[in-house]
Amino acid sequence: MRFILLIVFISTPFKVTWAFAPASEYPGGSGTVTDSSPRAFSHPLKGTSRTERREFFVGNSFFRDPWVTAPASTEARDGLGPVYNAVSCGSCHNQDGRGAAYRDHGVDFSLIFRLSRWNLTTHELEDHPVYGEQLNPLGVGGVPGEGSASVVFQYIVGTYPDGEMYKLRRPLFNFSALIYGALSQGDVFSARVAPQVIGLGLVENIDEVDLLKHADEFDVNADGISGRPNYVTAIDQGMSALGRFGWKANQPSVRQQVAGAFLGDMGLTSSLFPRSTCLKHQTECVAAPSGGEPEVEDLVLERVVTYSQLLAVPKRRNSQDPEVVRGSVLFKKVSCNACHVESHLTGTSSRFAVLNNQLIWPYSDFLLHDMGPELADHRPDGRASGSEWRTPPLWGIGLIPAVNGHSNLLHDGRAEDVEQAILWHGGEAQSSIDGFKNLPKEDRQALIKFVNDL
Amino acid sequence: MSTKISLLFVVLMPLFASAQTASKERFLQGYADFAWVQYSAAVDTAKELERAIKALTTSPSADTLQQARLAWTAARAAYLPTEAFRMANGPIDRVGGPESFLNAWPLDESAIDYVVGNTGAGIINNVTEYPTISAKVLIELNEKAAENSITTGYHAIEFLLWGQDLSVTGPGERGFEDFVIGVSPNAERRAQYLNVIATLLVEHLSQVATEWDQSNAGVYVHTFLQPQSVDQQFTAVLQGLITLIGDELSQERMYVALDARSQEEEHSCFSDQTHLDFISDFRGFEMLLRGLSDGQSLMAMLQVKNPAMAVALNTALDETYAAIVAIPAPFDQAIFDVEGRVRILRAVEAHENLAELLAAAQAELD
Repeated sequence: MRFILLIVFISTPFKVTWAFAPASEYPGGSGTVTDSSPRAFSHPLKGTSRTERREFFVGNSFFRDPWVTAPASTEARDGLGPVYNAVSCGSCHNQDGRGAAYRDHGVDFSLIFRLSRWNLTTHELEDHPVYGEQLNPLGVGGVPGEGSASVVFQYIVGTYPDGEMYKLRRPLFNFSALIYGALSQGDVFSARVAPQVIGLGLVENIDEVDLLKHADEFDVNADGISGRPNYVTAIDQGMSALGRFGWKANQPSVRQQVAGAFLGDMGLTSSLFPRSTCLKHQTECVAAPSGGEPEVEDLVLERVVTYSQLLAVPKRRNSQDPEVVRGSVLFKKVSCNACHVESHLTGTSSRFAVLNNQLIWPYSDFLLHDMGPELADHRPDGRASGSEWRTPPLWGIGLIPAVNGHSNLLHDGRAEDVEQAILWHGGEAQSSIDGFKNLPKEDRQALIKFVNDL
Repeated sequence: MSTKISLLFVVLMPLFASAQTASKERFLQGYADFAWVQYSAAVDTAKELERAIKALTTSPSADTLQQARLAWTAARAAYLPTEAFRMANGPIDRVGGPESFLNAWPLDESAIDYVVGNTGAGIINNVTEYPTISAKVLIELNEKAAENSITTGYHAIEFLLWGQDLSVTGPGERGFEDFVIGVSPNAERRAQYLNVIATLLVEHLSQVATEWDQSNAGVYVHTFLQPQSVDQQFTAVLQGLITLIGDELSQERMYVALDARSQEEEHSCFSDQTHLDFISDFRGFEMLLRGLSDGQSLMAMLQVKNPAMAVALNTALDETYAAIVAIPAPFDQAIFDVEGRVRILRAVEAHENLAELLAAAQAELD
């Protein structure tokens, strides 16, 4: 026994009281699944009941399979557009994973652009009066797409204090073929990529009080990190609610997130968002046939919501690997966990037993943080400012290459791997980034290896 | 051909295993042998199909069309048992494997050829954009526009042999005239398309069969049978079977169509042979679970470790088979029929029971 302890002591460069919690090996609690194949993100939580599993698989088919132009013989699946970004949820969230954002040096359709315009009289930000809230590059037969985006990367070279160099790429976007004319002064856009959709039901089931416990809006503890909740309208309840989903925490529930994506990304109306996105002056868009009212029938919406809520989080692969363990300690040492909060306990009131009473490890506080000028999109969203983003959960991050064949990260996919994603952090994360940069190379690598094990 | 058929019989004949020799190693050996035999049968029947399609397009007639349809049906019956080898990170569907070129569905007909209401639809009728129809072009286009823009494989061939299923009682009714040059627009291109994808089918299947042929050096089967990876392969293989039976067959191919009352969820929707597909799939996993001899089946392992579970597995397989043969044809009408719906649900449940039992067996044997 003494011998074993001695080995542990010698092989770690600083004193560790074996802080590693093995429970994190199962990030989704008891429903965690074991799969590191390209299908890793596509399973229902373990322990999902038979009836729920069936609903899950029906939802899967409506999530994955394409929607078609109305009218069509495939009535359950028609109503696409008139303008849209993609034909199915699974086009961008391929295998329930993450969009690449860029492909063949161009912008991939998994990267969408939200548009707004500053009202110069009221000084308020409004949905874009000409294009609407989102640029839809594609249109069904006879309806023109609204325009397309292209990208040029500006490369930035930096140096760690130990002399090692790193390279980052900053995307600069250009719009072309804009059918209602160019963007003008006061117009702002925000590029956002489709993230992996695992563990959403668990996140939804974290008690609000638990999440707010981590909020520190006025930085009372003076650690430089504020953590603000976003409050947005829960449409089905007609009241304000805590935002939990989306890059700026602008959706309060999985249901509203799903219905919002059906409308914004695919042009499909639902009982939650019954009105088409066509604006009055968009003649062809207005004239195109509808796929029913609503186009996504309630049963279908509920199935896709169930599907999204029950998608499981995969087990970690190498949580006992000494370097990974060391990385987990360094992760805390430089305070990544101040925002990427390791674990939460889920509540008790979900209709799905597998979502209740689970100790989960998403590595996020799901709150808003100022990420500094480099990552700012200058487009406020609800209470989120133009430089604030929701801490994205890190679970599943290391499996994105296996599932999606790339490791592009951050809201616009600019980071090509975990290291670059870390280096882009600024604002409230500045001291953590400085801490990271000042680590010896083997420690930086251990930390990255730990993140890639999540 | 004849050697392969006799090999198939050797594997098929003895139904119960000598329990003494059962082990993970023997199970994996049986799995590998059966994979080679069954993929070889799939290749042979695909070659027959390729020949029948050549005959159809050389001299289109009601008879050559019928012969091609029969050849397709035989090819399906040989391929579907190999689905038992899916989802285990093997040559069929590991990254880069050809599965999506072979059996992808549901399929958007209008990406390939004309449909009711759009006579100019599809690659076949789009001379401007696709002046040449070649293997390279079709491979590039497969699943490119959307996940259902499937350009190759069994279901693309099925669509070109049967046409859209617009009939309540029967399958699609494409006429041989569609392949007669000068009678049907783009008949030559349609014939070219069909021949190209028939050849591709043979190539893709051969690619997989080769990997399971132990007489080849440096192919997958040798990695698969490495002594040091027995536990890992056994887990992967059982997980694959559980996923095939519990997710793919019971849910994706049965329950989704039932719940959504959606004909387009049917697997072989142009030929109305979905009910036969279920049986062919069953034949594949049944072989691994209780068909192989000399202690090579899962049943043989369970008879040693937990005889009660072996009996339960036998019963579950019998019940599954009884439930799928009871599904009335055509499947696309059964999903609307009261009695049909009851029977489909029973088949869903039988597959679910079997998958749960396999999960318990996996825990028992690990």
